[in-house]
Amino acid sequence: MPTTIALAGNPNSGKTTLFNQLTGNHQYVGNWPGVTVERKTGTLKGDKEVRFVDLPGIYSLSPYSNEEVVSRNYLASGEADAIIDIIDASNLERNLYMATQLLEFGVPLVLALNQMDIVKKRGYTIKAKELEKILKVPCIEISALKGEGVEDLVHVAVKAAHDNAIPEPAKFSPELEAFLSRVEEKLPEGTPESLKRYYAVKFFERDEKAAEELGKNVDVDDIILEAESKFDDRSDAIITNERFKYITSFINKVQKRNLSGLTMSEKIDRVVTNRILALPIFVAIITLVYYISISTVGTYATDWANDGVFGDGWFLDPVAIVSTEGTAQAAYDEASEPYDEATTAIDEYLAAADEAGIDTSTIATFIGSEADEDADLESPEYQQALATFESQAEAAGVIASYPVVDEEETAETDYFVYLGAAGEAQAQALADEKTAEIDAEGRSGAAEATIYSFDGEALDEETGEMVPQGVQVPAPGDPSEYGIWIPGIPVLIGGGLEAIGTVEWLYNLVMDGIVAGVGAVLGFVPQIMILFFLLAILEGCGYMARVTFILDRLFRKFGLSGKTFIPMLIGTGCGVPGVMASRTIESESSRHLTVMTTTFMPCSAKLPIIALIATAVFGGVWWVAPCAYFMGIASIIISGIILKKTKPFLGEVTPYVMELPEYRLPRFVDLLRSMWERAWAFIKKAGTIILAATILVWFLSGYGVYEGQFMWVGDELMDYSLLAYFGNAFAWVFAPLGWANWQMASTVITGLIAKENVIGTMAVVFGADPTVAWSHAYMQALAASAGSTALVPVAAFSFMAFNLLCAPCFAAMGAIKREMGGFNKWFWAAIGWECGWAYCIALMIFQFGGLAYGLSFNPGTIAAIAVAAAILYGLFRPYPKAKDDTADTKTAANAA
Amino acid sequence: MNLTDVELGKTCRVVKLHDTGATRRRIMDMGITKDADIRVDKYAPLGDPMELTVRGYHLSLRKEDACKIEVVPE
Repeated sequence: MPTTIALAGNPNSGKTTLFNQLTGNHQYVGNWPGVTVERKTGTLKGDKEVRFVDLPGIYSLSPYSNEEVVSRNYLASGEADAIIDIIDASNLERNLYMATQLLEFGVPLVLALNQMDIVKKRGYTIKAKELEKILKVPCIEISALKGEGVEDLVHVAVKAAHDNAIPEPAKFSPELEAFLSRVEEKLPEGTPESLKRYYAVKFFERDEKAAEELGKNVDVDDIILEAESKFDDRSDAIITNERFKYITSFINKVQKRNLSGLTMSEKIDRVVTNRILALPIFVAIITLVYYISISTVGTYATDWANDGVFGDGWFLDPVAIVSTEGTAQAAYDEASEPYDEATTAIDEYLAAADEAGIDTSTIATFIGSEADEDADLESPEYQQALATFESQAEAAGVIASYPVVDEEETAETDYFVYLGAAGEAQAQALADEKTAEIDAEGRSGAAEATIYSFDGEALDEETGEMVPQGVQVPAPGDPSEYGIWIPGIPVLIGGGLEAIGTVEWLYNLVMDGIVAGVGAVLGFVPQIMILFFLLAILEGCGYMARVTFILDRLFRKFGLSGKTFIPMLIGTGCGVPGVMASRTIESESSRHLTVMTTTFMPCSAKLPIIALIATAVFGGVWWVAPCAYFMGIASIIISGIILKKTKPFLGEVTPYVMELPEYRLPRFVDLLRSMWERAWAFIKKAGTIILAATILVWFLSGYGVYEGQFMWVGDELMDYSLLAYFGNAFAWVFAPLGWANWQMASTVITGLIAKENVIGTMAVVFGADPTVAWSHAYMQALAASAGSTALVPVAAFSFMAFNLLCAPCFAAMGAIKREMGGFNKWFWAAIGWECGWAYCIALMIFQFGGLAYGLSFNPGTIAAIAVAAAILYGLFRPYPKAKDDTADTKTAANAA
Repeated sequence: MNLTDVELGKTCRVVKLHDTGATRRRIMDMGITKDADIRVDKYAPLGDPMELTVRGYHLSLRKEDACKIEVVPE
């Protein structure tokens, strides 16, 4: 039969390091049943017969946190054959406190004195043999970091388990012992002999969970009251005092401390938590983490994963990590950019010609993105087709116009493509008119107009002359000519599917549904790993505790913890690691609150939405983006204050009693392990729930009923897709927000796959008319749904607010699910709150903003007023009395 | 006097913990019990919480909880 050994210990005692040492890679991480407390189990390296259960790092076994409750329940269940209590020897006195509690479980106990090296370095001495004699349990000196003494420890623990060496509980003062034995006598028959002491102490302490554990309440109030009057203290305080008294009675015999001088840790803290320097240092460290994980290395990694591994492919080129200059990628980009631009121009022009009724089928086999790979541009067939097409297009006066939104620069450029003199005049007029129109409304500089002529010239903005470009640009050729080229996964899978001749629907499902969807999610993995590595350093070295110390005052006003700052900041890069970073918050209620609100921060995928609204609707004014961030921060703070006063968050008073552990250098392996465990949890999610959700949305947007037939509709016939059908069905929901049409309603759905899709979908659903830029079609649609052109900016802002604040993408929802511990009420509360909040804010924006622009008073206005009133009430109502408080007052009254 | 009245760098001895709600038990578990010695080290940059040395390690507490800890100067 396998031996099960529980690992218990205070936080920062080196428990995780020991567990990793013992189990190697044979471990399993999950949650304790019903609660979001990490549960790790593993078998001994080289001996599967010895199993370890890593209990959460706790200071005590009182029932005040989930961590403590699961530990207690586990130990009382008798499942463990022995307990190893890992003790930070450099902090012996407090660590022994829990040992005195562990002695009472009737399970063999072994003390592992860890961090003896620090003890020796400081010039202390600890006599393990002496401690062993006093506590009558084995005490083994170990160094979990170096693996010293670990083998011995396992040997002793296994032996203790086999011998079933039940330890003796700590002896308290004779007065207290007398009271405890009276309680013991009152315990019901059938209480296991070995647990009698445990239950006696628990009932004496008025521990509410004790009756639950034993399955029977024991009325010992008279004994407790008598003791309390005798000791002039509350019963739980009596026990705690006696435990520490017991420890202090022998501590000087086992430990000689040398208290002169400052430790290294204290010296560091003189600077790091200094009244003046603490905040600047904090800002510097966080900026560095953000800079590395989000803006530099992180972005590089994400781009590589999204555009390379899950895109066309990537160059194997180590130089590219530090510099883009002179790399194969740079050379390839230089060659391919003008080509891509020209190809797009040709495509748009061909589409415009097609629209005008010109047959483009022949010419399209030679030029544009649909051209045959081996088309011969020297051939007479081409020359003839081109000449025919040109004369037809010129005669019809075809011009194409299309906008290009630059995501990073948040600028939009309109391109015009024409042929011949008449076309040029018309294109120029369109470009001028556009600028004029924008100028007239006082929003100049919105759209830059770039003019392409179809026969291969583009307007050079500096000289004002037409220079050759377009079709004359040579194709960049195969990327492998520029360096070592590794094709992306979609290319490989796509190629494979084509090679085996897969049917079209299956090809679409795999490529557009699975590979694109899961790829979009997995693309975040490298960034997540970098971020988690950095967070593991901050946690491992002890700085995280200082962050709370520095920021506690600021954040507790909103019911949040000092550590909330980190998820919020990370959330501006990506909501997924943002949500996952919340696991460093100890208080469960603060953690839930943080998980619920972190994704209000505009992440990088939401930037294109902001960019589009800022440029297309507001003419590139500077305040739209800051507004979006401000809205995110305000949403977090206001939600925090409102939710803090609601029932689920009231019960738990967020206590702040925090150890500031010694600084130490984290072990590289442990950092990697911590990083990998969290990243792996995310990857698994991408493979299950996110996969399913992605396929569903792909199916809805790709298939539909066209001319009475259920079929693949794709982008071209998206109006007929199931997505459009559903969009139509619930577009009315968004009527009070000013944008009730199926196109915008459906972007909300596709935005769930990834927020980038919001813009992508809009480009598809509004791009039907090639003579009008889709962003203009979008604005026309807005004007129609809002009721007037004047209302467009308000409706657009409401649309942006809703998309920024509502439920995040599937990847982030997966992270929320994980942090909340499954599809439980917390998960749905988070999603519900986010969507509801987004709806309320968007409603207020459109209704109140609309009033200023001539929107008439309507039922929506009343709703908006009601919402505003409710939010104000939630903000300013007094804190209702917490349930726990009353319970505490009751016991206090009893004690008095 | 209570813990917030103690000068920085000075040590005091705990007399009694007055009711501090749910935090009381936690404070005791962390070693602040009758007769324990506490040194007040510093306050956070925003004036709260405070850092203490108790039983040989560093602990931080909010002032609202610390003021319910009755102490006498050492």
